[in-house]
Amino acid sequence: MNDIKNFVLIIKAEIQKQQQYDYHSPFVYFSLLIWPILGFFEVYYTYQPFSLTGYPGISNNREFLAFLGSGFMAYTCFWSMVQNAWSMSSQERSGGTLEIAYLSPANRLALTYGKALGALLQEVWMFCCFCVFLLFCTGTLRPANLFLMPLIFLLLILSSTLWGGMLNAIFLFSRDSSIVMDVFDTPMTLFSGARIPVPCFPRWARVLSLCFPLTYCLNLIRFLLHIQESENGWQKDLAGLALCLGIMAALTFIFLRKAERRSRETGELQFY
Amino acid sequence: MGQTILSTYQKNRIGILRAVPWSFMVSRIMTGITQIIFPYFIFRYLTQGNLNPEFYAYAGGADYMTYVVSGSALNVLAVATLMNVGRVLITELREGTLEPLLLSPAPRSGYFLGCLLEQTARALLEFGTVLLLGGLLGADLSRLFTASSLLVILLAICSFFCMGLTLSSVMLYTRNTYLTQNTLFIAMSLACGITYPIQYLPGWVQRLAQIFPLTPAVTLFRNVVTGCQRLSQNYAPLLQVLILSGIYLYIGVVWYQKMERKLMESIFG
Repeated sequence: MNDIKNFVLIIKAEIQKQQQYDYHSPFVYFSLLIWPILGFFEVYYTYQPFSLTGYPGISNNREFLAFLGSGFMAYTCFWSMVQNAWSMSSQERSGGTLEIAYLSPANRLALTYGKALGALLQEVWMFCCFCVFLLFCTGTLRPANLFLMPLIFLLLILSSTLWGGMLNAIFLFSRDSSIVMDVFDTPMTLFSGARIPVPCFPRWARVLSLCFPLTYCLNLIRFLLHIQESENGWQKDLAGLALCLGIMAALTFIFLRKAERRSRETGELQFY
Repeated sequence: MGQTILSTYQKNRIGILRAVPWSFMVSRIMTGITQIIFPYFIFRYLTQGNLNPEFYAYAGGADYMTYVVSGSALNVLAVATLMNVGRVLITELREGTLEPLLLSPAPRSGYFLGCLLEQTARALLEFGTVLLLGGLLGADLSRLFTASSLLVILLAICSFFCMGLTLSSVMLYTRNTYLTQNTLFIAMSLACGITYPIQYLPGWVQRLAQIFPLTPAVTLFRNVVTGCQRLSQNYAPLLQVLILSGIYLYIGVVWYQKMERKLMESIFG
C-alpha cells in the first residue's frame, strides 16, 4: 500500500515539476496549438491534388476531415512523447537534475512514467480540443456518443504514457539520441494510419504497421467513432495493443536497469 | 576578406567535425524524405495516381512525383541554409565566442560568406539525398544537370542566404532559436507550394507566401526542371527572387549593424 502511495507521489511531483518548467511564457502555445494546426493543414492540402471519390470512409470532405482529425489527435499524443523524451533528456542532463533524481531512492519506473504523463497532459490538451472540435463539426462526435470520449482519452493516455516511458528509458543511454526521434517519426506517421488508411497499403507496409502501438490505438478509436472501420474487428486490435503495451513496459524496465548500471560503471552516475 | 572567409570556413568546419552535428542533418533529410514518401503513398497506393484535373492545370502539366520531389528538395536546401546561416550568431553567443568576434577587425561580410561556404557542401548533400531518393521513387530529374537549373540552385542558395542574414538578427534579438526556426519552417512548408500547388490555398495565404524567397525559387526550379523552360522565359519569378533577396539583405545588414553597436555597449560597457 505504501509502495503505491509512493509511486503516485513521485508521478505527481514529476508532473508538477514539468508544469513549472514549461509554462513560463505565452510562446509555449505555439508548440501546443499553432504548430500542430499548421501541420494538420499541410497534410490536408497535400491531399487536395487527388480525387478521393470512391474510397470507402474518406470519400467526401466531411469523412476525410474526421479521418484526419482522429488520426492527428492520436498521432500528436504519441509524437509529443517522442519529442518530450528528447527535450527532457537534454534539459535534465544539462540542468543536472537527472543526476539528482537518480541519486534519490525514488522508484525509477515512477520517475519515467511521471515524466511521460506530465508532458502528455500539458502538451496535447490544446490540440486535442481542436481535434474534438473538428470531430464535432464533421458530425462524427454527437451528443449521443459523447460518453465514448472518456474511454477514448483513457485509451490514448494509457498507451502513449507507456510508449513515452519506453522512449524516456531509451534516451537515458546517450546524450545524443535525437537520431532516435527522427527514426521513429517518419515510419510512425506513415505506417500507423494516422494520415493514410492502412488497408490501402501493400502487404509489407501492413506488416510494418503492426509494430507500432499507435496503429492499434487508432484502429480502436476509429472503430468507436465509426470512421474507417478496420477489417480485423476490434478484438484483434485490442489484443494487439495489449501485447504491444506489455512488451513496451517490459522493455522500459530492462532499459532503465541497464542504463543505470552502465552509468554507474562508466561514470560517477553523471548523466551529462 | 578572402582570409576571413577561409578562416571562418576552417573554424566552423573543425567545430562541426568535432561536435558531429549529425542530428541536424539527419533530421532535415528525414523531413525531406517524409515530405516525399507521404505524397508517394497517397499517389501510388491510396489513389493509384488518380489526380484531379486542377492539379495538371496548376502544375503546368508536370508529373506528380517530379513536382513533389523538386519542391521538397528545394525546401530542404532552404531549411538547411536558413538554419545554418541563421543560427551562427546566437551559437557564437551561446558558446561564448561572440565577444572575440565583435572585437576582431575582420569584415563581417567575410564572416557570413565563410559560414555560407562552409554549410553549402552539407546543405547540397542533404539536397542531393532527397533528390536521389526522389529519383528512385520515379521522379524525372534528367534536366537537373543543365546550366539553367544549376544557375537556379545557385540563385536560390543566395536568396536563402540573404533571408538567413535577417533570420540571424531576429534570433540574436529574441535570443531564441527553437520557436523562430520552427514557426518559420512550418509556415514555409505549408505556404510555399512544396508538395502541392499554392493555388489550392486561400487567397490571403497565397499572397503571404510571396514574402518567402522559397515560393518564387520553387516555381523557377520547377519551370526549369519539369517544364523544360529556359531562364529567359521566367522573368517574373526571377525578378521576385532578386528583389526579395535585396530586401532581406538590406534588412539583415542594417539590423545587424545596429545590433552590433548595442551589443558592444551592453557587453563591454
